[in-house]
Amino acid sequence: MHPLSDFFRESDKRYLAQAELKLLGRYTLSLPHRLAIYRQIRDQELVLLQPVADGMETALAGASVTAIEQSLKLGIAVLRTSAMAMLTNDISSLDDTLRWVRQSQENNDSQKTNELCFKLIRQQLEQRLEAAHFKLLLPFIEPFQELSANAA
Amino acid sequence: MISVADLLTPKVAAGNYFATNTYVRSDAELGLLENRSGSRLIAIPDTLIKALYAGLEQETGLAARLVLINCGRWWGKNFYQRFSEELTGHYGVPLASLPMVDFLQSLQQCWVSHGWGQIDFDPSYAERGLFLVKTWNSPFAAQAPQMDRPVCFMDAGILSAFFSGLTGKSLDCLQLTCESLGADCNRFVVGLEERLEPVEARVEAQEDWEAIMQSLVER
Repeated sequence: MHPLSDFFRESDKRYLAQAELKLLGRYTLSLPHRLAIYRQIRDQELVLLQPVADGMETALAGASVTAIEQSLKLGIAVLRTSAMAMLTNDISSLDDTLRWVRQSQENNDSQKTNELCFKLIRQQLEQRLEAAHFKLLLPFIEPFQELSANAA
Repeated sequence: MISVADLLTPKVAAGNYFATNTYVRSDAELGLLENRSGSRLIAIPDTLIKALYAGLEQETGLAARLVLINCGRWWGKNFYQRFSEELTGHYGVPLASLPMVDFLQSLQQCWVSHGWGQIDFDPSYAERGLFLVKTWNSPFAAQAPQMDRPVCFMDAGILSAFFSGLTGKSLDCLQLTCESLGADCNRFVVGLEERLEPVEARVEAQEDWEAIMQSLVER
C-alpha cells in the first residue's frame, strides 16, 4: 500500500494533521528531483547498463553468457522497478520484484552473478547521478543488493 | 561481447508477468476479479473447499477422490491453455521455445498469484522420465478432512493435466506426501500411467516417498 494512500483513506472524516501535511509537503518538494532522477535513468538506461555488462564479462570470465544475460535481465527489471518506486516513494512496490529475484536465485544458483550485477549498477548510478539524487534513490536499490549479498 | 541493447527489447526484458500486484485486478463496484489479460478470476472461500470435500463425500462416498481428481484435470487442462497463451503473448515465443528458467519461474509466480501456495520442481528424477513436484501451503490440503492418506486430489488432477499439455503425452500424477499428514511439503510424482501403477498401493501403505521414487527409477 502506498504510504500517501493512508492520508486519503479518511479524507471524509478529518483534515490532515500538521505532521502529515509536513510529510506530504516534503514529498511534493522532492518531486522535481525524483522526476529528474527518473528521467535521467530512463534516458541513460543503455549507457548505464552496458558498462555493467562489460564489467560482468571481465570479472566472470569463465561464466556462461546465458548466466550473465539472465542476471542482466534481472538487473534491467530491478533498475526500472527501483526508479518507479523512488518516483512514487513507495518501497512496498518493490515486493513483487524482490520475490522474483529471490526465486530466480534459488532456481539458478545465481547469487554471485546477481550480487556483482547489482553492485555494478549501484556503482554506475553513483557515478552518473548527482550525490543528492543518488541518496534519494539508494533506499530503493539497497534491498536488492542485500538480498543477493545475504544469500551468497 | 554482450550487447545490452539486445536485452532491452520488450520481449527479452519481459519481466514478471504474474507479479501478484499487477496480475490480479478487482472492481469492487462490479464485484469482479480479473487477471491482467481481462479473464475473470473467482475467489474460493475456505468454507467452499471444506463443503466440496464434505458434500462429495456424502454424495459419492469413496468416489469423491476420483471426482476431485477429474475436476482437477479439467481445471488443469484449461489452466495449461491459459498459462500457455498468456506467457506466449508476454514473451512473444511459443512456450516450447521459452528458456526453462523463465518457464519455471513464471509457473512458480503464477501458482503464488492464484493463491495455491508455492510450487517447486525437483529435477533429480527428470532424466529417468519422472517429474517430482513439491508444493507448500496448499489451500486444498489445509481444508481437507483428516484422512490417513494424502488428500490433495484436485492438485494431483491439475498437475497431471498441466504436464500432459506441456509434454503432449497422457501423464498421470500421484501424491506421495501431504502436509495434512505432517509432511514438510506435498510431493507429487508425474509420469506415464503404466509406470506409476504400483505407486497408489504403496502410498496407501504409507511407505516412504524416497523408497517409492527409488523403486520407480529402478523399474
